[in-house]
Amino acid sequence: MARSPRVRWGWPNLLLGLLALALVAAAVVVWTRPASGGTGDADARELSRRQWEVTEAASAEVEAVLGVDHRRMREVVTRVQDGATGDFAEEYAEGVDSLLSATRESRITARAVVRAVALGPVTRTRAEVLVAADARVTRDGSAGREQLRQHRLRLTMVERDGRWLTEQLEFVR
Amino acid sequence: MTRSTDGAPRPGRVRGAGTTVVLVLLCVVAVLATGLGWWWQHGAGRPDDLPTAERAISSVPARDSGGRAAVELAERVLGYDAAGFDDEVRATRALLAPGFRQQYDAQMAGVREQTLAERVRLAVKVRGSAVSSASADRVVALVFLDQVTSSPLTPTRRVDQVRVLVTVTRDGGEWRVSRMDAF
Repeated sequence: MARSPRVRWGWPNLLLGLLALALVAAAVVVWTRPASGGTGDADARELSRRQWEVTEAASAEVEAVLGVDHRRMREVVTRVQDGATGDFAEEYAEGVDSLLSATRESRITARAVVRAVALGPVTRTRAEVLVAADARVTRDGSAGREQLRQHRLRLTMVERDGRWLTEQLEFVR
Repeated sequence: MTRSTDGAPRPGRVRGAGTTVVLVLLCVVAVLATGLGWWWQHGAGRPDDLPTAERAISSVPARDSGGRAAVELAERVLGYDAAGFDDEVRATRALLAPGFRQQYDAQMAGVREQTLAERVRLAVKVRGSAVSSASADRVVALVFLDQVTSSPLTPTRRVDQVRVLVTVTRDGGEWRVSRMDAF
């Protein structure tokens, strides 16, 4: 039987090993370095995620606060309180009774739309947010005539058990 | 595969060939990973295919410097005074991106006559600002500001509460206003 030529694997494997090592290192560098070439891209991605979470929570809270439906105010109040904590939760709770009677008497409905949200100073657990929102207000018997109210709000959001809640809410007037 | 004289594979040679196959596969995978990573960083992976959460902020330093610049520039662009009106407008134009100058010129031309006739002063007071999105060369900031209009010819002042999205773009290291949307 003819013998196969002997192949020495040592050197080729050593070279292949070095090449593989270099390529793996290149892949790691490409995947971990920032797209812009700066040092802040991982921070930027993290900040983007946080901004998105805070924006969602702040928008929902503002729409709940500005939205009014005199026929279903209990639902509105529950929604607001679900996203509130700290000072804002206390202040809102103190005003709930007068809010309920005022909306019952005025027979108001308000549809709120958030127009813009932006993030100010932010840490892992605290963020200041500016929200521009409009409320279109109608009264029963007004033949559908709407009144536009443009609002500027500043919210302080805090992270509690994975949720961003509104700790302070202020109308910027 | 090499075999011993009786036809059975030699364990050492088999290991050597196996190692080669593994290393070649590793090289292929690493090349693919590098290429995919490059595409992700520079190609179709950014920015449009990413969800909003991933792309609102792509540069933290730009967020800080652009956010500050947006506030300072908004004060300059949105305020004016009959005293030295033309000089102020000329100076402010230099703070604008070329594409925004025409719009600014039109606005200033629209208020010039009345401003000079009534010696109007429009002062801007920023009440709050925050950043909506930021990349290395473009930042959008939400600015709450009050525009206080006064004139020696009228006893009252008018205050307009304004919400404005200010877009600044970096041009040769300087942030310039490229868009303003009051709403």
